[in-house]
Amino acid sequence: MSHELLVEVRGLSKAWAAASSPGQRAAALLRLMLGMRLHRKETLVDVNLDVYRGQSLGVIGSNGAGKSTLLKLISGLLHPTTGSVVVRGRVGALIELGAGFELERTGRENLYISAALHGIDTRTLAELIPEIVAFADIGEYIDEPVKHYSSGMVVRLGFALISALRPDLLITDEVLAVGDESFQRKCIRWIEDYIAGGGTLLLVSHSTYHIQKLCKHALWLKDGRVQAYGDVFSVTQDYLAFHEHLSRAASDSEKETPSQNEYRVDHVRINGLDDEKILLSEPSVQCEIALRSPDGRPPRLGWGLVRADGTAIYGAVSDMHEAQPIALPEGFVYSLDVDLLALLPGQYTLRFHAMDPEGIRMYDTVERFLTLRGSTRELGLVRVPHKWKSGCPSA
Amino acid sequence: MLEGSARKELIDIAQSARIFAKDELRQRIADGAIGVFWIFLAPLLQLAVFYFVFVELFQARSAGVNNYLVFLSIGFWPWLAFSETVVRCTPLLVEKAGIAGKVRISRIGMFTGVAFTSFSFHVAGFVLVLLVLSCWGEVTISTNWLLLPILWAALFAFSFSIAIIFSLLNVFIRDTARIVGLFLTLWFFTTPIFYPASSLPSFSSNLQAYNPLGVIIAINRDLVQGREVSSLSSPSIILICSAFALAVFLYRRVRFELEEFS
Repeated sequence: MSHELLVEVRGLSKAWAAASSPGQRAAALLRLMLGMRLHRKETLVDVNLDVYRGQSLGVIGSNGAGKSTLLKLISGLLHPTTGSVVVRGRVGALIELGAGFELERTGRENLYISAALHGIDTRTLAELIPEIVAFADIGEYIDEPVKHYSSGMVVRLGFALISALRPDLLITDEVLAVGDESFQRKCIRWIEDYIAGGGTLLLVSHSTYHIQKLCKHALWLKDGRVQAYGDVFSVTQDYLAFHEHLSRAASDSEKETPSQNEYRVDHVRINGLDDEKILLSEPSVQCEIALRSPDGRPPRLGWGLVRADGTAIYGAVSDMHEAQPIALPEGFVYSLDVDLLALLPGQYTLRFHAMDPEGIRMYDTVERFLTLRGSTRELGLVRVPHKWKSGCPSA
Repeated sequence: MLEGSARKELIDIAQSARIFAKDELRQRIADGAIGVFWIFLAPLLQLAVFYFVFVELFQARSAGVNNYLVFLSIGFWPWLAFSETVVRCTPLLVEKAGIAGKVRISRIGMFTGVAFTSFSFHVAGFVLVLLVLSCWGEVTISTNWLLLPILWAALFAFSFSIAIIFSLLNVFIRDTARIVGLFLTLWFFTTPIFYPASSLPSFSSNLQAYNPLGVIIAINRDLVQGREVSSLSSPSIILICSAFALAVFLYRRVRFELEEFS
């Protein structure tokens, strides 16, 4: 990555006019003619962003978060409501699964007009067309109207055109969501070569796998605002954890833990800290759990580790391993060391349950939220020990 | 010297105008079976139709008109250039919203390019008709003809202004495109194209001073037939200028909203 600033976004905001019905549209026209302001709804709020030449930035966020709006503003397809966008270089954009092809025209006719709009003259395009057709793998369909294409073919042709133009800045919006496996692989290979050759990428995708694979940095947009911006793994892991929390919140919404219990968790310290959220630098935790007992008998401690979406990973009760608490005047304290080496990066929850001495009933629960960082593209919850064998398969 | 952003905008407008003018031409030619020859054949066929219907079939005559074929042809082509430009361009900003939402283009540049090609098609037709009529000896080339480019430039400015007003309105009020057809039909029949203004009742005849197209067509006839220009009316000049001013005003007010509403 060089230090040449290619995209400079400052205080960027975009607000859409709230006018969808014919009456509202007519009223909007009247207001505009009278020089009055329109009622607007903010889609993007105060976004600041620098993209340097050679950088690969993934943009993630839920539907309606403002990702496409941001890309359109950077591509010059939209004007900002406030703020500014400066792009130094030629932009190739594939926004909303297309390159702006007209359905009634053939692929070839569309290529000519799209290429001209990207500053490519007819002669240069004529030389590029065999390469484009081969990349898009659409054969004789190039002379068929685009309305006869499948959605995958449209995207393939759009991507093939943009790839042939080799822009300074490549902007793609969900291009990898359409198209078959082999085309996706072809796209990914091309993008990797493009980045390796000094190209700059802005990629919108709902696939964190693609974002992690192709980008070094990520921007998370939430409700039109930058929620996080930085290293791709940190941002995507936070993003996934957020969605896991949402899923769990939805499933837990009916459950309410009673607040007053006989046996209860007095306090929990993780690595000597009372914090609820803990960012782990090492994959291990030392826990100190203090329990209260109403009758002086030592309560049992149940503990569990769950993924942020509530998926259970492990759980145990103190008596299973014959663990005994230290008795103090104010209660009982359990000490527990947990090795998290097998866990993949992500967000997890440690749950501690105060139980009666018989281990029959669970009275109280306290949670601590752990964030485990890491730069791996492995998938799943835990790292399963395995070994690759290189060489020829055995006969 | 223009500032950087204004210069860049002008370059964008010029580039989009050039690309879409060429594209419109390519489309018009590609749509016909005989390609580029259609540009020349269409006006000749139109002239042949006029000749057959009005000269041979109806043997049309009109008071104060010596040669009805010349009268009709010279009056009809300015109307054709105007109406086709308006009809083609009214839905344009909505029609091209797809490409404008995915590729960076100047909407006004695109509009100008398409309007220019639509209009130029009929300018070419008119030139051809003049050549045929002069070869036939129906009209005589005169120094008055040197003023025709100025008149047709004014006609283009007026056509462009009306087209962009309708097109901008159509972005916000989609019924506009439907109404334009009716509106043009009304305008066509109230403009002295098939009949001379002198055949109208005095009230209607006086109103022609407020019909920019009627005035342009009358001047076109005067210039082509080597007569002194008698129909230059200040209300029409004011109306042509007002249409242009309204187009500029409307465009400036809504230009940044087009990306959203179209």
